[in-house]
Amino acid sequence: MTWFKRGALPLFALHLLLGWGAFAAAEETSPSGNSKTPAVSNEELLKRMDAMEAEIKDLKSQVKNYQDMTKSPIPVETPKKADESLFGLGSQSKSALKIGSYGELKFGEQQTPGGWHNGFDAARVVLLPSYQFTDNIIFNAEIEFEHGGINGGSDDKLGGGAEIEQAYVDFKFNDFINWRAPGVDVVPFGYINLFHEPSQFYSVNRPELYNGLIPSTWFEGATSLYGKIVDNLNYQFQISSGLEDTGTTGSDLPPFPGTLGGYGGGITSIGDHAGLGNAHAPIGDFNQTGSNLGFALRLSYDPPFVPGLSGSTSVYFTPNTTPRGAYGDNGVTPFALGTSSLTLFDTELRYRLPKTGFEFRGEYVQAFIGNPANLRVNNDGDPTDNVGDSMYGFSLETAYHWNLAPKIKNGWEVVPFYRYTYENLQTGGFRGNDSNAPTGAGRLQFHTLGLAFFPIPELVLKIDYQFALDDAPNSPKSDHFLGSVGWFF
Amino acid sequence: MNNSWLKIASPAVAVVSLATPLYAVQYFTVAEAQKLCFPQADRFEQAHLRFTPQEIAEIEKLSGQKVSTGGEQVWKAQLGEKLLGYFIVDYVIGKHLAIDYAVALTPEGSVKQVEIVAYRETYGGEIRGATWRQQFVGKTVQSALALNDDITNIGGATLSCRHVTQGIKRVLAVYETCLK
Repeated sequence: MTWFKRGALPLFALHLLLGWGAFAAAEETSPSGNSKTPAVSNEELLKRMDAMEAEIKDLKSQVKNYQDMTKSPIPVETPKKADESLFGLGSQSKSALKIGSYGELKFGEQQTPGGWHNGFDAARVVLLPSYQFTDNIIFNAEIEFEHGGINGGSDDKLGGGAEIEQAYVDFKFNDFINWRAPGVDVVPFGYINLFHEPSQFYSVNRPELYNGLIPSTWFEGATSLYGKIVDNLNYQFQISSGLEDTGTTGSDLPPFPGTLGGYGGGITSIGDHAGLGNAHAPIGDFNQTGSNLGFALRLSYDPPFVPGLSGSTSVYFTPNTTPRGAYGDNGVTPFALGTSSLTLFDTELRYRLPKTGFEFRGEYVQAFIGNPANLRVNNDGDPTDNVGDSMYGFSLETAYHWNLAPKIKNGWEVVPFYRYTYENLQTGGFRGNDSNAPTGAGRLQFHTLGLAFFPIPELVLKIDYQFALDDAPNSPKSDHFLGSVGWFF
Repeated sequence: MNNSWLKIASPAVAVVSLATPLYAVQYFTVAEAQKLCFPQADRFEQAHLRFTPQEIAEIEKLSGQKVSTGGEQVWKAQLGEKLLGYFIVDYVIGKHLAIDYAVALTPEGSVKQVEIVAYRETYGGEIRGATWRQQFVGKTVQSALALNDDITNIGGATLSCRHVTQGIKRVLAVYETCLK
């Protein structure tokens, strides 16, 4: 017994202690002290570490790819088929609505019979939305706010307008034929009526031929076919609501004698927008006063054998401008007016002498009245405003493009210009119920001299002086000295 | 008036929609444009560029144009081991819509050929004419490439003429900076 107490018992206790310790070291214990998880071998640990390392590598690679993608991405073409299509570049533009703008803000002095007046005119601010439905179907519009907009309240002095000047969908088929679906469109006549942004002409106001003889901005309900005939020769054929010989809007002319003593003609020889400026057909609410269509054909060309030359020739025809219910009167009795056709012809050229700053423009326009005896102005009791069987005008312009880029950082060019315009809106051949006593106010000349400064192509600052002359005594007293800020983007 | 409109518009709609299928304003595929520019090539090797910030700065300095993408689509036109030139696809905005165009360069970096690959604007398509595009043949990064200077403008297509001219100037700067 003594040997157990002195030898075995201590040995047994020591064994118990060593065994307990080994057992404890082999276990994982939870923070609460409860130990349930089985032991993990070193091999297993190494395997797990290898797997984690591989996963980290993969994650790093993904992060790098993501970072690369969020830089400006290269549009990369991926299709491998033989008939692969261009990828990425065009599609970058086609999905978004694009909104451009052009506008003109004018200020300066204008002469009137009562003297010179200073003034300001927020002439136009125009929005140009474009949307590409598909590569072949494209929407364009022009939404215009003129002269500050429209009157919205009793304390609001605005007297301008808000109008839709273009809204159409193009179906593009090929180089030779494309269809513009019925919509609101500018009439393809001349150059400035189509391309009338302020960067397209150098004077503050649009060229004088387009202020009435060509009723710019001339837009109507219309549909077109357009395309290329051959290289450097293009066409547009349009059918539209025809011009109307009434300045009245609304589907019915005021009956005689009317609250206004009759109605004003649309084809005129004197006054604001003389010529055809008051003859637009309305585009809203089926308010056209005539039932006739207008037909326009424009050919545009830039002959390669004369580098720098561009031009166009346009013809317009409507079989009748006389509105429904039209009448003449001598202030006492009314009488019905019959039909009168209208044919317009325009040709214009623009030439930039290659490798120089010289530019020349010329234009001629003529209107042929089918039956002037049936025009309102020839039957309104006023002997001074009659129109003959034709009206015509022409202009000649010279400009010089002085490149400022070498002298002014980011500068572009200054363009001094001079334009002469002649219009005769009261040629011979008067017929109608009125007596005929023109004052000479229908024969006009304009000398316009000025500067257009383009700090960048999209922005133009203009200043000009215009001398206006006519054959009437002591008139027209409508010179001006104006400046403007214009943009187009 | 309304009857007149229907009489005019309906036949036009019917004829045009039935007889003339809509097809793309895209005139060439990349492969077709490549073959047009390098008919002798037996293969085109992709060599797309990804610009570094330094390269962007250099391209903008040489061309005077902003660089709006991170790189350029470039192919090398090869005949066996011989480099025939570079085929580059780029785009600019006309008035509001994209114009896709291709520029073929000689190995020395002068313009060999320009093709308009896709044109979407309503007006201005005259730039597709061969005479206008022919003006760019032989131009290098040292050329003025300025409208109404060494490149004739087309009235009524000014924006397209200007922007494509600027684009080609930028493409030549890309060659000078990244491919020379």
